[in-house]
Amino acid sequence: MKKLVFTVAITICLLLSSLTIVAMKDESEMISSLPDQYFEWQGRVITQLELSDRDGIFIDNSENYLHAKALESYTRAALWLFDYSDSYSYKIESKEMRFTDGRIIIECYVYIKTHSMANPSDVFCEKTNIKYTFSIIKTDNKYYIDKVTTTDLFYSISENEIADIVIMNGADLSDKTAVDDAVEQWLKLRADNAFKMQSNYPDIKIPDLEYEMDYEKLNNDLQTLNNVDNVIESEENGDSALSFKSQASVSTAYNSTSAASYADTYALNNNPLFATLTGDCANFVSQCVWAGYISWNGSMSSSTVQSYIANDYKMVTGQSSNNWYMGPNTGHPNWTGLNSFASFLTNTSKIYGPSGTIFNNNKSYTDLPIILLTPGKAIQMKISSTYDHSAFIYSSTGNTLANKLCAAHTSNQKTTVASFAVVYPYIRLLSFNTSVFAN
Amino acid sequence: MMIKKKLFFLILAIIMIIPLGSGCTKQSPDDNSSTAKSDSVTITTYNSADFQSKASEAEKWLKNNANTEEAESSQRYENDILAIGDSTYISLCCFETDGMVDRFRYVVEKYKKDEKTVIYNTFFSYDTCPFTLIKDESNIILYFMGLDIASLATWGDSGKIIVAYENGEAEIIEYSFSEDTETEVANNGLDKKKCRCEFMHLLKNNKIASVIAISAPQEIKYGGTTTRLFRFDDNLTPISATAINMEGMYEEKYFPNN
Repeated sequence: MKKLVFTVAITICLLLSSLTIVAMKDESEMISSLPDQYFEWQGRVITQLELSDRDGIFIDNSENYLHAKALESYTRAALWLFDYSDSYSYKIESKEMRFTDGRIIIECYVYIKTHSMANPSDVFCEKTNIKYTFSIIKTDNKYYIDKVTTTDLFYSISENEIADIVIMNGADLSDKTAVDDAVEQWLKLRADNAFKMQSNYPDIKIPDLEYEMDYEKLNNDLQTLNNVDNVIESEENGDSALSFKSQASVSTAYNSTSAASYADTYALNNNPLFATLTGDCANFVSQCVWAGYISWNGSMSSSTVQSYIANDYKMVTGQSSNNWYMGPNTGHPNWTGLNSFASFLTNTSKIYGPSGTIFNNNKSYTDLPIILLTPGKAIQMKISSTYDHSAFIYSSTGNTLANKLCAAHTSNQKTTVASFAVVYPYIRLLSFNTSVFAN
Repeated sequence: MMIKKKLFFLILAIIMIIPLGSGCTKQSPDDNSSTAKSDSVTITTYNSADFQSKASEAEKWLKNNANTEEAESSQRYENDILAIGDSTYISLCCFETDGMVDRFRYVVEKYKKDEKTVIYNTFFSYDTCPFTLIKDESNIILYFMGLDIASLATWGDSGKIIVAYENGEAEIIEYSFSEDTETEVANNGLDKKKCRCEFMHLLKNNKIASVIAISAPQEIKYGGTTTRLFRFDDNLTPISATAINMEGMYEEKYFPNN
């Protein structure tokens, strides 16, 4: 009898113990998978959207109200917002958990690929080492993401677009009701775009999102969870094993259509977000090239572009002589000086910034292969020793120099390569490639 | 590591600037302890009012003594005048167009008796050093071409140029200007009355040991104050500089546009 009682007791203990372990593991996995859910939920495409149970995730970022409202609305509306032109996939490259001030902090580094919706193999942009930090708290026996911070500039874009709508509605950003309304309008706008896109391409099948759960990593996370003291101690000691020092590096495709469209738009009227210089030709050409790297389009809001400029997005700073930037007041000679720009473009030792090729250097315009003169490229011209003028090709209507339409500052004009050739015996061509930027 | 690097360059820049500041202080007539050195450092300051009055003076001189048509031309913006002995130097920014392409040139004309000689003529460009040294048979002039100097992120609208001579003497040329002046935009796009930072400065002698520029840009986010030590070609045109700012120490190349 005693033996039976003992056996039953041991069995119950083992059962409870294993249940506890399973529960702990389940809990740990659930916590650890919150970022995956977050990205999976973002990655849902319009054709696959359905109302889903996202009760486990609630976003309330008190420090960033617009961001919080936008994300919360995504949850409620179950709409993930794809712009009309592109889509993306992602992969979590690394993930670490730690504890700070009673919260679970999960830091992830994520690879994000933006690609054409019409042609998924046409990659617009690949970003790696994009840092996401999730702050997770436990309330009512559920874990919630209470704050997401990221180095991905996409979020500031959505904020700016919503802010634009608030202002257009004649309201103030401090008016939370007005912000809520603007979020709804913005969601509808994005959804309309997405549906419009879907109707244009009914047969498009977006590839499934690709990522693999690293269960070994999850087990490590579990150990981390069970070893809170060590984690805190490590953090207090500044243990670098738990900190991330990676520098984001983004390979960015050059969108010649965007660049040409920008040149067409701002040929005759300067973009007021940039300084206008006394000799503005190189500044204008650099703006066009930059537009190619940010995939500019006419519907991009002014505040978005302003935000890009303020954040030196797809510009180069902190690289001493290898900088390339322009702002509302000042710029770097690699941006504003045409010879510096050409030199910078072909400088293979630089880390960041536009890279490209120069054709027909120091040669007569008659040697230019006309077939290469396509929209999205730039030309530089000279009369004798030094190149002193530049323009941007925004359209091609045929295969003669007179069919290659150019935009140039200063004087602001739309003209043809043939017209320039009358004045300039020497014309060289600059083309632009996929390049690396820090953001 | 990056912060340490920046700190290192900041300290280095401060160390470079302190002796120059000391030189300025020793200019004070009350500072008896540095009488010997006070004679060796000359400070000249140019500001917005100077640039405007010098531009008017140059235009007036040209009108009265040389060529009225040129003085009144909207294609020329005289910016400074230097009278040295029987020679008069006029510096100007010249606007050219063929109806299709606009170009700006910086020009220095020398008038001696009835003879006019162009002693400097270059395209305006953002990748050319904003100043140059011009030497003729009798004088050496520092010509500062600041048409868009405020738009160059690492130059800005004020700064100092320090010229050290082989005999140990030095000159500090300070410049600052404000764009707040009321402007009148001419048809050619040049702001006729807009204050621009352009001037000629007669140097003491042609035995120059080194030239250093310290610029104080308005937007410190791009490197902050930059100190440059220049190298010149045989024509005394700056061709490159070793620059130090918060981004580190680096070589800066200039593209002379002739």
